Amino acid sequence: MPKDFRIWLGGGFILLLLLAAIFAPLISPFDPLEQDLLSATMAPGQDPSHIIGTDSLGRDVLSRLIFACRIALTVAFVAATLACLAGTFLGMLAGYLGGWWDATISRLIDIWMAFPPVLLSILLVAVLGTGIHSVIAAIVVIDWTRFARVVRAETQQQARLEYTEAATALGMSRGTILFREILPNVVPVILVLLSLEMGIAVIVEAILSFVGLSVSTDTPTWGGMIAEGRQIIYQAWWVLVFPLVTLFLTVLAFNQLGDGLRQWLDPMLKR
Amino acid sequence: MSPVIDIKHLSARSAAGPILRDVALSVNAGETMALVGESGAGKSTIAKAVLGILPQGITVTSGDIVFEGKNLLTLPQRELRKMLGVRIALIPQDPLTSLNPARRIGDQLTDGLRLRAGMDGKTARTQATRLLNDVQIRDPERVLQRYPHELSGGMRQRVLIAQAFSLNPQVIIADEPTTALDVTVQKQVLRLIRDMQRNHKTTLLFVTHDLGVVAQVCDRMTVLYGGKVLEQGVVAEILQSPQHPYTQALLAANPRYDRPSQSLKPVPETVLAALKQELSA
Amino acid sequence: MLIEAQKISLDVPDMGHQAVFGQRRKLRILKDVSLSINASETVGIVGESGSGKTSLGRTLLRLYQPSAGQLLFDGQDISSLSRVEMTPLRRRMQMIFQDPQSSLNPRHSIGNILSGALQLHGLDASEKALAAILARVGLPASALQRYPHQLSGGQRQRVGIARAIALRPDFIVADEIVSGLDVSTQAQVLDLLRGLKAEMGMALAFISHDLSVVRHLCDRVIIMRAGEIVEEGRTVDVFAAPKTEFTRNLIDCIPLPEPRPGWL
Repeated sequence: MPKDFRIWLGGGFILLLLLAAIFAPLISPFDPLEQDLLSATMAPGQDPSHIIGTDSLGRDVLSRLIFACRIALTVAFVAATLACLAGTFLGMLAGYLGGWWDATISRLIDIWMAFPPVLLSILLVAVLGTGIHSVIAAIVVIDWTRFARVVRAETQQQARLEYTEAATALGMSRGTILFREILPNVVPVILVLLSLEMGIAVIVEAILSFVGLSVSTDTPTWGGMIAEGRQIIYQAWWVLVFPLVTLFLTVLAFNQLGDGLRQWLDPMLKR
Repeated sequence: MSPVIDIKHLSARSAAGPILRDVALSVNAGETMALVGESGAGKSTIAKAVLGILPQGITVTSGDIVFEGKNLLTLPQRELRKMLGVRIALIPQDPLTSLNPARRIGDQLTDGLRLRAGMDGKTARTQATRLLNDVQIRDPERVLQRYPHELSGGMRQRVLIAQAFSLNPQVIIADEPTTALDVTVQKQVLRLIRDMQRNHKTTLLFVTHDLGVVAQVCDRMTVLYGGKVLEQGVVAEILQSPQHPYTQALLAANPRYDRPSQSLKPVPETVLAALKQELSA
Repeated sequence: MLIEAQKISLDVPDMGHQAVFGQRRKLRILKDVSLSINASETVGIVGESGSGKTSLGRTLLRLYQPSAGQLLFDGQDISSLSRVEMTPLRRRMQMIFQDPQSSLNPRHSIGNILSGALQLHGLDASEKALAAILARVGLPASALQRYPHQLSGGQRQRVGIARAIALRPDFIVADEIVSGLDVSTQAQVLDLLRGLKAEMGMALAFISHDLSVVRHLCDRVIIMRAGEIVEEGRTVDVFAAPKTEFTRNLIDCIPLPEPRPGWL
């Protein structure tokens, strides 16, 4: 059982968001798309039914915040997981097989990382067209290198330890050694990276929707809400502040979870 | 003759339990005292307690370590710091991790001379060259320019010996100084330590697990187990006729090239059981 | 003759010198080493650091491929067999490593480590069989559920031995297996090894820097220096009358546990 409060706090907040996303239609007080121009830009508490107010079109901010969790978390989990799978696979191959494999994959990573990531993602979305699939694709295509680099280094280090040689002496095949022997020792690093990457994916999605390159503008997203709120910040600060704070807390939660996992999983080896 | 280091009733413990149990130990001027035992015996802990560098989590619960009329255990940190390297020095076990890999040998060797003995850079440099000469390093000028990884293990250990003797301390603690070395190099380094000690009239506290090294280098020995002193006395006498069953068993378990094969005896269970009882009493 | 090496050499790339173009410079770790080990014989391979003794052990097991020369196992030339071709032979040749801490996978339980080895070669990996193997090395069956970091150094080395004997090999290379252990633990492990040898009758190449230990365990001894064999002979003969100055010096440098004035 992890004692680290960061794991519980970070994990707990993410679980809360996950539940909110899944049960969004049940727990949202209003339809997030329903406009009511008569009750536009109502401050929090002005109308007890709109707990944290309404935006310039009279839509309930809380309901939009809850529905926006769906996009944010879908992108976080799917994009980070796919980037992780691709990066881990290539990183392990490069780290374990070495030689030609390592040279090729490492050069690929070097070249990849020389591209400016923001430009690359905007370019990608422009080519693929907007939509959640494009956002996910953009994150995977850019961020697999994060995993590949670290997993390669870790695999190399593990492959130098004698248990790998012992496995060879027993007659295990390279594939078995890679997946049965080395992978379990690399998993802690992967989990930590995965958690951090989810935070990054949430930010990237927010940036893309802020500039209008994510999903269509009528679907609520945190980035989209921030963009709208920015225009009326002097009349209705809450439209900007609540999605901003939620975004901040979500990324913080993923990072804390990652740091907590790092602390928790690491000493297990040394004990 | 009054002892140079006088340890009385020294006990220490960690969260896991007692580490040292009422250790008494006195080392006379100019002699070499061996601290012998297997891992967990507490021999390194005693050395670290004298140097005031006990790791976190280990606390001294009672006892005195008297050196030059002062109790090292109650001495303020600043006072103790002033003594380390100057009055008491250390020859560490691992010559690779004990030298800073990013700094040249010369810079590391002159640190003490400049900061503690107040020499200027040029004098310190000359003195460092002389020190390397003393530890029989050929071409000392060039070695001063080298980084630790460019030297062999034996050479690095010589540099550390030079460093320990550089401020002519009263006492040197050698913590398994030859464990990481090949036997041929070990012999050279042991000879060097002994010669340096004689020339400088230094008192030596020699921590080791190797009874062979004890026999050839040390005058008196203290046998430790589980933080308790089991036996103490003149090396030749103890090795010839060990009194404590554990010491006897340890000697019987020690392989010797001059004895026929098949004569090795693991430490008997009865001895270990008796020890356990002795410790809990 | 179970193992026969005929003039084997081993080159490794020199990591200190990276050529701008072309291949890295090669370092010759073993030079024309010839030796043979009979079935159920114990041969000590002794040398100081950098003598090539560890590389020789790994080459005999074909963990390294010799750059030149011929290596025979039970009459079969294995010098250039591929990894896949070696697999069936792996059951018959095993290794015990110096550092049981790093040679046991920290993420696998002891039971998992042993059953992995047995299943690979289609042998019985039932709980009962595993417990029987542990019993032979003096460990309780409860150790099966333990992880390497939960055991002491001596216990871990017993697991390393258990993994090697589990496959009932004909040949074992033991690489400095007692050098990290206390004297009393070392005596226990040597005792265990001697017992297992008598019982199972495999050939053993015992690699060590410690001539005293070799004296107590080995029938024959091979002395190495800088990748070459300096001397070889029956252990009693080599210790009674070393043929080379090198060996004589190596023996003389070992401190005996009784004061000898003038030794230093």
